[in-house]
Amino acid sequence: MPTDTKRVRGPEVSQSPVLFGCRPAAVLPSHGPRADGRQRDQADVRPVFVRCGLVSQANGSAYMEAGSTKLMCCVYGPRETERKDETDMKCGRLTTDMRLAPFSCPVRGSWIQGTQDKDLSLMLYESLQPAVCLQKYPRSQIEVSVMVLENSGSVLAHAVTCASLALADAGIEMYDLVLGCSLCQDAGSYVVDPTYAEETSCGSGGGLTVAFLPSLNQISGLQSDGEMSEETLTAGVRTCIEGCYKLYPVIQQALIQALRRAAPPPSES
Amino acid sequence: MAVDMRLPTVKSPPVSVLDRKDLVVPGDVITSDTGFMRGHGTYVDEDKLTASVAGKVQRVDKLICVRPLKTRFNGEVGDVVVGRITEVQQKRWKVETNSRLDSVLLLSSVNLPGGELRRRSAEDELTMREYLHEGDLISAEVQSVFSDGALSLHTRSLKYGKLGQGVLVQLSPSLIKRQKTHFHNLPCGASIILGNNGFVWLYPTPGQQEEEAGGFYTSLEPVSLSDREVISRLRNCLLALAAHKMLLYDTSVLYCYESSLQHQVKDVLKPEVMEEIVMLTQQKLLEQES
Repeated sequence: MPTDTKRVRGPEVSQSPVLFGCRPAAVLPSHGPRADGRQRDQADVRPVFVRCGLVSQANGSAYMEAGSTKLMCCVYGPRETERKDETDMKCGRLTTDMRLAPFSCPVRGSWIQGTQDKDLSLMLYESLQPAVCLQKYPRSQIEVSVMVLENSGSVLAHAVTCASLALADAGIEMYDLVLGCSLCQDAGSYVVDPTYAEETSCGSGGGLTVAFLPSLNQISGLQSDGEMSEETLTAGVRTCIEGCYKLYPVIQQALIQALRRAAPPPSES
Repeated sequence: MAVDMRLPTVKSPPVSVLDRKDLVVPGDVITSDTGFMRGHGTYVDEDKLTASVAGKVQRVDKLICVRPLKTRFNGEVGDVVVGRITEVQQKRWKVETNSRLDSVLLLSSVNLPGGELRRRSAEDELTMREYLHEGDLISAEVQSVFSDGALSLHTRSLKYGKLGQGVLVQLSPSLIKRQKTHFHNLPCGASIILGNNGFVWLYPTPGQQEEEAGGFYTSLEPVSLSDREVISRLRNCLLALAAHKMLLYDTSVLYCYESSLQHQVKDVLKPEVMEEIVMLTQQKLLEQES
């Protein structure tokens, strides 16, 4: 093959610039306050920003930011199921699809849904499904899709919160809102609502994500990995619930605000 | 071509008389008094009446309902709907009517050409696609509601049937005021079908109706420019009214049309013009009431 001399050709072997970039301090302090000034061993969640109704095409949508974790969720439906072979038509179907955008993590991902995304979708489904009154929607399906725009830790927990907000915005009947909170354990102490750096640095310690129905006081989803003793797990769940209660008024306010914006015409009676 | 550009402006918070007490989110306890009855959008959990949708609480005597503000169409028998055919099946058409499930239009509940009392033969089943095929718009009435909430439609009147030339505007179903008639020939030279499902159809007022066709005849004559202008203006007026959450019925649409006459058709969609027109409409409606 003739070589094009006018063209600058790159080296035969190339390396990702990420390899050369200076890594953030890999060792995070395991004692004292955390990198962003929050306390350890306390339900100290990051401040959140939530808004409903940013996607006009969807029936309901929500956007959420916690620290620099940014994600958006759209809800389509209820609409008629495309698949007719399901024998159980008495209750509706909830489908979830959660994706991490390729640019969301420090290392670029692909647009194709990977195994991580599929796992997250499944866990999202399991957390939301008990809260939605699916028996009210026979033969229908409700689609929930979450797109993570920036992954800065506790993605699943915030996806659960955001999705329940979008479902409520779509006017779908739910027993309760679902709130998510997660924590990470490293070296004897735990950090609530961990950032991406904290999540990756405490590899050996366990992680825990809880989906919680605040006014029914029930847990709809619990996901935990790594090593954890029984006592720390129970204590961790309790701390997560505490974290959820901190989010609750913010989420309620956002929903009320969205409702007020879509205030109905004065009813003529 | 001149392009209208504007800077972002601070949205003034909508004037709303609703206070925090009226609005609930799923999981909010409405009352723990057992003397109330459970309506739509609520459920009972350990004697506590709890909301299951985000919306406004409505109380009628002892019945408590929560009305979601953003909702799909919940049809009732007798509602006029405008819908689009999505599928042709055995003896039935599937119609998209903005409700939770696709509605059904049975072959036996349409007026076929050739008289009311015509027997429906197997041949009719084969030629169903000739009457209505996928993508056609129809106006119909809700005949019955199935147990799962799906609607059964009928077009057994000459006013219902296939829609020909016109403009479809899709709005929220809660904006349409329920009235005796949803078909109006507006004096401005166009006709309007206000579907209860939030689909509004604007079309030039037909001249002489060809009755034999039984609702499947669609006029393909060219529509004059003036008629098209009137229809475009009406469409923009409807969008203006919907943007300001005004109830839609013949009088409000007509007043809005009249107040918009001083502006060009395309200007009606500008936010400030929209606001002005809607204000004028509200004023006229108030004057008419008193």
